[in-house]
Amino acid sequence: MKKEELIAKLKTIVEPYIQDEEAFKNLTEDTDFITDLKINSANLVDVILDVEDEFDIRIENDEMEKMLSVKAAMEIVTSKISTT
Amino acid sequence: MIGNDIIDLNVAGLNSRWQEQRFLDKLFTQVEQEFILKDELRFQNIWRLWSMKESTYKIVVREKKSSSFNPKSFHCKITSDSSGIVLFGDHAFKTTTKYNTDIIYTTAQVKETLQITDYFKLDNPSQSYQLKSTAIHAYSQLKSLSESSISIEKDRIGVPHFFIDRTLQTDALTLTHHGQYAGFAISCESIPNKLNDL
Repeated sequence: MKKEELIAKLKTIVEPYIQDEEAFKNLTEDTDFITDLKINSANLVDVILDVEDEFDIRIENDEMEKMLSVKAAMEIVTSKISTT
Repeated sequence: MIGNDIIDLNVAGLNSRWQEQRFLDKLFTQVEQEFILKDELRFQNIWRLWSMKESTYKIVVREKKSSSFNPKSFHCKITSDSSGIVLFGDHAFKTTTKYNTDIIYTTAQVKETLQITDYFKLDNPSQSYQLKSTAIHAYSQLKSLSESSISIEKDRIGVPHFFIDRTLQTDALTLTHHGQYAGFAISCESIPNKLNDL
């Protein structure tokens, strides 16, 4: 999957939970889910479940721990879909 | 050291997959899941335990100066209708939870240093400055200072701090905002507390 395609999919997933429109519009790899997009931490698990469903993967607890930015999410998704 | 967390139950009900088993498995230990499912109050129980974990997590982030998302490392024990203990590694945090049909609000602390805590409904959910100005007002009363000398700045990892005349204060501040509700807690710390081996 192309990087741009992956970012676009992640963008669609996080959209319902973001609380900062400006940061969402300017979303890049370096965007942080909590400090930039202001996603409530209670919704972070919703994002993770949506990512699991969208890409048909399972994210383990130790991976979830690091999944706080677009970049980290991309790395986890890429590593999972390339091994299946 | 203090932390707090508010849940707007109307928002939590709309915008979350809390009914799914997978949701429970990602956030809660087996013992916690038994507590959640013990009665008909699954929804309230989930968010009560979550706010206990989150308020404690805020203390840990402040100390470690880095963030991660590991809710199952925080183990909740309920000790009464309003109080509880959260264990993280070798550390125990005391929590106090208030709830009604609209919100669940928890404060966590290491020592009994909590001075002021309050939560309220925002005039407009997008006006987060209202939370800061309310906290500044409370701090100005506590310190008998004018509000104009006080400011709040967040650091690199998003932890808020009080400044008086641009000088960083050791007193700890924690802010929380969810949906239409917001809360804050202030504790007086003579020296910055350190938790070991977090």
